[in-house]
Amino acid sequence: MISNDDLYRRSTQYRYWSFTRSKLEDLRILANKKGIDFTKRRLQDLDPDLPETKAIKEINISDYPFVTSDEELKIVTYYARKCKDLAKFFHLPSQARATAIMYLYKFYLAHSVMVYHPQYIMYTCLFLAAKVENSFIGINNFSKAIPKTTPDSILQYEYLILQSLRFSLRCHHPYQPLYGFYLDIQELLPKVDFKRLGRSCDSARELVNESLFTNVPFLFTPPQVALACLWKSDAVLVERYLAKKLGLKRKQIKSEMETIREEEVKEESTDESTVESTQASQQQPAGESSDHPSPPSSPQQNFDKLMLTIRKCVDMLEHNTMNPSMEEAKHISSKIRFCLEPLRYGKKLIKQKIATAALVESANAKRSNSSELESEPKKQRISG
Amino acid sequence: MVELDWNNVPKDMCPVCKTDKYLSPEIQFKINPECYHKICDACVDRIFSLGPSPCPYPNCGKILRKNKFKTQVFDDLEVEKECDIRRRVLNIYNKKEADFPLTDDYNSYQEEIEDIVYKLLHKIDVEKTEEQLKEYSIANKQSIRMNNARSDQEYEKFIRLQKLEKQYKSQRNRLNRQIIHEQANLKNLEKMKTIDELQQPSEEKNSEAVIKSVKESMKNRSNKYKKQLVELENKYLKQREIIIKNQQINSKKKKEVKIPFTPFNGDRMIPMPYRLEPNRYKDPYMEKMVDDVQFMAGGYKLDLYYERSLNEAFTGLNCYIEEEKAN
Repeated sequence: MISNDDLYRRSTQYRYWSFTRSKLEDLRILANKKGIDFTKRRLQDLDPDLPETKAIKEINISDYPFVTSDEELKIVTYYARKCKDLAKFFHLPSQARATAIMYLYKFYLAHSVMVYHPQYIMYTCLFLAAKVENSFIGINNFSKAIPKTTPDSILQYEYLILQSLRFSLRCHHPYQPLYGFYLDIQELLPKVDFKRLGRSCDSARELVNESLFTNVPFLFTPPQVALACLWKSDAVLVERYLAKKLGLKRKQIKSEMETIREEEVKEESTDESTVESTQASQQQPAGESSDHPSPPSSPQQNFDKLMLTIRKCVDMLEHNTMNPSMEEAKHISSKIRFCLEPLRYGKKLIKQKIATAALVESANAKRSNSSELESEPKKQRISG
Repeated sequence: MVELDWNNVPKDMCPVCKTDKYLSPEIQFKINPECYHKICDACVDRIFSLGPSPCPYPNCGKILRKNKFKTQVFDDLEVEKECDIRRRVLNIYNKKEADFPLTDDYNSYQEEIEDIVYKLLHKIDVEKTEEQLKEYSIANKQSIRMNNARSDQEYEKFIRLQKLEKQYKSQRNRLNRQIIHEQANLKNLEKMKTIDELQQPSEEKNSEAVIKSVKESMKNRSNKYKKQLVELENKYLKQREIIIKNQQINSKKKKEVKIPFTPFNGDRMIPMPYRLEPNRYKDPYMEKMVDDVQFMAGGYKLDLYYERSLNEAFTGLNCYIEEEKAN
């Protein structure tokens, strides 16, 4: 007998693109390391006679503006949001939009922004996703609509992206499951106010849209994400629905909910006490592994487990968003530019040198207000 | 002796041995579908017992075999011939009306059969027609065999039903007869009893009561038989239904085997975690879409969309990645 869950376990999304929290982080750190190594090699390959190269060689290699793993995730999220706007511009369905965003995130699990600039990858991802999700846009029209691109500049990354996706193009998004639950709730809880259900589902849909910019799609299955989003917009509804679906009796629900809340409190406290999610993620599997040998069979246990997962998912939705501000994004973006084209950084260093020399001269001349002047040219450099 | 007119043989006479019905009343005539020449039973035994030999009619010369001889059913040989041809063709062209999606197809099929029969009967394009028959039988070997088996089954069923009905009728008749018999008996008995009892002077007063009780007992008896009759009829109806149903069960079983191919060899037929109730779902947005001609033209069906959504809702709901991917 093969259940739907077994079918899901055969999907590429489960086999290639579902990770534990620690594994996901490892992948990102690994990609970051690869990017740094790549940039270092790039630095070594520079023409040693150029003045810029000499300027770079003078500084300590650890001072070079490498992008950190966190910054990488931030900038990818920034471009993922750009991707969403662009998809809206092309009037693509939400399915295609979500797929494009997932492609972008998946690509940067294998590669670093220091090797491929996310802006260009984002264009190609969107083009590819539109094609995959049956809303094809011709390449000429596509590149015409986006300034500073040519059909070739978009298409050149296509194969690379396909390869990075391990040729698994199908993405399961929470939209369809959410709609499925919307229908099933109508069937199972006919007394629920129709308008209320509609409102809850609409806001849950918005949350699903937002969930794309977190790690949630890699850590949970689409129905779980859908339930988590629905729970966030209407907790009572989801709990009642799941209790009835899993065959819990009324009295049991209350007691179960209390125990779950207690567990949640405990977990949150561990989350807070440990510095970051790395340690928390190490603890959690250890805690769960004690339950693992005896898989849950009774309705209560099933209910417990599902609710716990939903809570975790909601927690991730609330806390793990990486939304950089404009300035932050600009800063990271410039760092990426320096990594991609080290000579620019050399030029900047030379300019800085000249500027500081000039500064010293002017300081010598005026001898006063030197501290104010010092900060001014630096700002200009950065923005330039 | 008068020379026999071979082309116009008298009705009750064998042209080979010149015996006729008048002299030997037991004479039986046989014919062979090769040439349909009439020969008496004794002559067939005499001439063809030693193996195939030519027809004794002059200018015929067809080689006949004994086992092909049969009793003539129809007086008119033309009718006999047509029946034989028809039987042969229908053995090959043996599709039923239910096998055709359209009545027109079935009609043209019948037309084809009639054409073949007519041509064979009137010897028009015999070779060509025979070839056509042969080709068809080779091309549809399997379906012909299947249809034959089916008609055999139906025939068997028919026989069984007939047998049952016969049994039922005989039993019913017996019971009816018994009822009549018993009633007559009773009438006599009651009469005698009434007279006997009325003769006794001591119970004069109860004469009316006596007649009443006697009548009641009579009624009871006949009621008993009537009950038996009703029981018998019910039993018969039940058995008949069983026989008819048996056939249906068989055909149902055959249908169940024909499930579509699944990569898991049909083992995905487990109950789904949801019930699909398209009538109970409300979605104003989707309902508008369904009425849209653009969607209808593409064969869009709301039920399928519902089913797909529900399916996806429960695909992976109980996959706990954190746990399962821990190793």
